[in-house]
Amino acid sequence: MAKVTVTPETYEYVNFSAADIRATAEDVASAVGLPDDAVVEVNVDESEMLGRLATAVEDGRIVVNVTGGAFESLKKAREFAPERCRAVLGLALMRARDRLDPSFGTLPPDGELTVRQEAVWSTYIEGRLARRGVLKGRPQRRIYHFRVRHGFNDAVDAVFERLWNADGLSWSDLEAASDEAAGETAVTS
Amino acid sequence: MKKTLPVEELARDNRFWRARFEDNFNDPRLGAQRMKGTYTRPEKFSPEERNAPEGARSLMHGIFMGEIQALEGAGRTCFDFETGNDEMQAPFEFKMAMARQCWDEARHVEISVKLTEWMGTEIGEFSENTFLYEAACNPDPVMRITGVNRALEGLAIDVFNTMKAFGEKSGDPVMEFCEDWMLADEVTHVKFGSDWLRKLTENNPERRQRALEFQRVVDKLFSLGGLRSDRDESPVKLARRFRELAGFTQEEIDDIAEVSAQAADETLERAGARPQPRTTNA
Repeated sequence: MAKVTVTPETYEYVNFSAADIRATAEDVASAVGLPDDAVVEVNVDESEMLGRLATAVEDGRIVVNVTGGAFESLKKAREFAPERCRAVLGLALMRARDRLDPSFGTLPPDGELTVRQEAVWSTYIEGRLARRGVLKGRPQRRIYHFRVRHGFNDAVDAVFERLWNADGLSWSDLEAASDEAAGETAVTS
Repeated sequence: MKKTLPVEELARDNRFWRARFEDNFNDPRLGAQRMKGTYTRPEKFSPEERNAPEGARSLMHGIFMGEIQALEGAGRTCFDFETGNDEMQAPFEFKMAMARQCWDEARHVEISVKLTEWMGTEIGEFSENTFLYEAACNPDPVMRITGVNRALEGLAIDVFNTMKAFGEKSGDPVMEFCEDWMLADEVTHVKFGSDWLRKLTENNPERRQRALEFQRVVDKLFSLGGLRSDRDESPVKLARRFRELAGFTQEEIDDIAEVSAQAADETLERAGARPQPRTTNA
């Protein structure tokens, strides 16, 4: 099982438990196929209400910087939402897995991803997470995100479908898919 | 049947969770951001903005809940007051306007259900704020239509206009059509408010003044901390043209711009960010 640390251990502004976050991260790390000797650091900024996430691989360690808003219930302010925590950590750790895979290719750091790159990669990731049981079903929300970034038409939906069901893609495959989708109705530069 | 049903007794099943406005307003994380200097202004609704799709889902769920409450409020207004022309009564024609509004709001609820499904949102996924219904509990019919129809439905005009533009820009035909159709009805509802405020206070300037003061308070409180204002950087822009069509004078629109700007500045000050110079975009 991956070695996970969560910072901080206690929370002042939100009703979170580091133990719950750690247990979720360990479970998700196994589900996405991270090696047992993987070292994962989850840093939570509890003062930030907006949901934000950045994953990096630094000296072999997986560093997940996440805002409290990303783990927060959409209904009850400042309360922990286990299903959101699972989904967000799934996304974070699958990103790390892709970054650690030499065949995936080189890609920009999370902070430099365009909204389109983020949308194609997230679609590819969430499809795999759904098949591994980390996410339930296929969220219509993800299709909506993909369409907002690429356009609302059948060609865009076909690219989405392909990405959702894909495995073994590289970063250049994802960029090509994004360009293909955006070629129909480009909305962002 | 009870007159003026308390907000706690609104019928909701277990999918819904009610958030208290004061809890959001007093969230200690805003103070923490002030200490750390990390407050960031809300993003605009644009396909290029990172949080726009999630912000849109949350906002449209809020509108869906508002439509339910607007239906409940207009329905209660038909029932809560005796029919007549005395100060605490409601004229028959006024009740007819409210009945027509119920019909529109019911249609808006159905449109909003379809729109939220399209956006991947489940009913009850986000919390419910009941401020619209609470404004519809005022014992004075003039206050009710001023607070609900002119202030809060006016806010709905601004939101629908903004989201229609978001639909156009992202090429989303469903969003664009839904917002356009609901926007047309909202203009009518706000005009009900403008027309009936003037009629019901025709011979009572003091009552009209109290109602307009109440509207000012509601407008400021529900500018959503500057989310809605006349400034370029505001996610929801004041829809000046549609407000004119809804019976607002230029002076009244300028006044809303001013109280919205005050609300935005107060939020920035609480968060430790620098307020903007006090200008509006006419």
